[in-house]
Amino acid sequence: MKITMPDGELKGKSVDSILLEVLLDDLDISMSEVLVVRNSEVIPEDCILEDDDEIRIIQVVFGG
Amino acid sequence: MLSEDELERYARQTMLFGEDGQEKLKSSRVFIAGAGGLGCPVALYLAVAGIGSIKLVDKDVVDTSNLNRQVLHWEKDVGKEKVLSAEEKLSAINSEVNIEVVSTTIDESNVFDLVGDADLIVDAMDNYPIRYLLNLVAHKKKIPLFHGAISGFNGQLTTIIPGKTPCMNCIFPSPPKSELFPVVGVTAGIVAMMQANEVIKYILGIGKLMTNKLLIWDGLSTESESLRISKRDDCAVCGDVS
Ligand SMILES: [Zn+2]
Repeated sequence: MKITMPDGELKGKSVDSILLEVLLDDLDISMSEVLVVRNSEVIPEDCILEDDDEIRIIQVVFGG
Repeated sequence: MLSEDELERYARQTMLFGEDGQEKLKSSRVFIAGAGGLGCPVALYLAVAGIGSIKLVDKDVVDTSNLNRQVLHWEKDVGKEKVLSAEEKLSAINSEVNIEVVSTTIDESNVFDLVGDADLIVDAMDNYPIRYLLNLVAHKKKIPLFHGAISGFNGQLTTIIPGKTPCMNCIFPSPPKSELFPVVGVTAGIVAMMQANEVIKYILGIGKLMTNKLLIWDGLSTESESLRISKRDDCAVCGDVS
């Protein structure tokens, strides 16, 4: 799986299939701080990801 | 009816959407939560556009460190309540607009009454707990919520229509931590202008709103993208609103 981290860093990870929530845990990223995007769609934490998925993790902004 | 003065003031807008459109703006009541980086430019541009009534709520006083982005607050206003500083400028730039300000912290006990009979809510807050409250009230009153948020050179924006779009709780099910955030004034200006633009289109009933999509603004690459967003079936706020 190809992962673009919030800072733009590209990561590869081999998985069979993995729950997004578990993946973020592995990456030490808190779900509340980010949005995860696959094919231009924001996906929920209970989404199951496959090895050929490409995802992008972006930082949620909170200021106003 | 628009007065002669108003017809002259809004001539460039009535060219665009007619006197009917201008009347729609004039008869609208907008609630803006926050008189900071987003709230100042949103209020300023909605006031000059001729929104009839603007209610602005914020609890803070003006600090020198606000002056890089909170454009309604000037050097002379440091130490003054933000809503009073904002009211002074908004009234001076368009005396036709009815400006109501409240200097208080929005919380669970007052949010419903503060929003009152507003036609819509602009989210210009700097934290998610209050955004969730605004979201809840928007759904209870079935009025739209125009979300914007900023940090650094980045911003995000979406327009939430109860019963039609995902809500704040669907998109952001748990709150990111709020802390002191870095920001350049232009980021606030850009996102606020898109919020104000959404408000004007909604009131006029023209164009396409940023609904069911989250716009992500990246000022460092001067690019924006629209991400599809979905409702959560089990959402406690919008799950049963139709
Ligand atoms: Zn929802």
